[in-house]
Amino acid sequence: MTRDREGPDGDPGAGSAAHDGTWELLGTPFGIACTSDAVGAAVARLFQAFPGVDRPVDAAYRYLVVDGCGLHGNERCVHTAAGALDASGAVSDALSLLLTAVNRAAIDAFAGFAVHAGVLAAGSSAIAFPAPSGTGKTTLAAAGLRAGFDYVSDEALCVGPAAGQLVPYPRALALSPWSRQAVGLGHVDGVELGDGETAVPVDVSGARVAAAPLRLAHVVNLVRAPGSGPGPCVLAPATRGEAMTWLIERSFNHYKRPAESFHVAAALARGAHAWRLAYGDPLEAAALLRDRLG
Amino acid sequence: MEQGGERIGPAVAGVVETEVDESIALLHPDSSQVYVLNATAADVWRLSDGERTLDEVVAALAIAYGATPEAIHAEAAATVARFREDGLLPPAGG
Repeated sequence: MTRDREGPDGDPGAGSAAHDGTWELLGTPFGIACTSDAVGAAVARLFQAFPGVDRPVDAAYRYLVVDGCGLHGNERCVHTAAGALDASGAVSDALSLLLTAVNRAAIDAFAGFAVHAGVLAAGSSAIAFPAPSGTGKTTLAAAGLRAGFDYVSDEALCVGPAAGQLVPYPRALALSPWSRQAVGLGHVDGVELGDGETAVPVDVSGARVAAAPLRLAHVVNLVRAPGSGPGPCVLAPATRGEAMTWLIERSFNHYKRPAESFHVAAALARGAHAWRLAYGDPLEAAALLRDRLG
Repeated sequence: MEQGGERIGPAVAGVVETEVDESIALLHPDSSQVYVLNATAADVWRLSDGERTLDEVVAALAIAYGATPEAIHAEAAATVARFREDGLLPPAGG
């Protein structure tokens, strides 16, 4: 059904598409083609914070979103060179699939040291908060933008392979309804994703993407208050040894180049201040970070 | 139980070491596991140089901390045992 819309040999980006975009994520060009203008416009909004490129895109990083596949032509499919990821009845679910796949591929292809962390910046100084999924990184990042920080990422602290510079990874902020309300972005016009989330492009939130060069100035360990309610907001100093532990524990890829990553993490920890942030309200926490570290 | 007269260390070949303030970070060459030692463990590691016995390590720590050897012997011995379990120091009798 969708085969005639694909390129030869399963190259999902080589066929005709109504909407075709190419963006560079962490040094890798990604090509995303869509068979409908509506989905293409949504994809363009999701990736608008990344620079467009006209370099050739490897087939492994081409994606095709087919609007109107499946037995009855009412599903959306995301295709890669390795095959179809899944089919879904809703555009929002297809976009979530796409974002997840692209995110994984971008970080996997990154040649430097990458840590699962939210990252904000004030001028050239970056603040990273390493944490696993589901601990509030994206909500705190969004709150940070509202507090006046520049955006680096809600997902990854990326340190380039040359000279240890930070590489922004400003993917769209995917916020739950609770998170949008909590950070005062309930009214913004975002892109609907699956599971009730809304992707909020950076410019819609009123902030901007941080400009390189950036250096890591602070590493913050997040300690959320039980539940989602307000709690005491306290920023306390920690040791640089702890900062190194947090960076290594949350690294996506230190196992690929262990010795190099070890030294990069140590250098980052030595050059940064370490903190522990206990908080309940993300806006209050962001304001505290702004006052103390911004 | 650690024998107080046996020399401790040095580090297993290939262990990478770097200092981060008062901490020492170690990278195991085979498992790629990273260990970030607290201040006390870092002191035990520095003294486990293959020249000192456990009793001598404890004596040096006691002077540094202003404590009696008896007060810190158990913790130092446990730390050395952990280094050996993790493959950072050679096993006892090795």
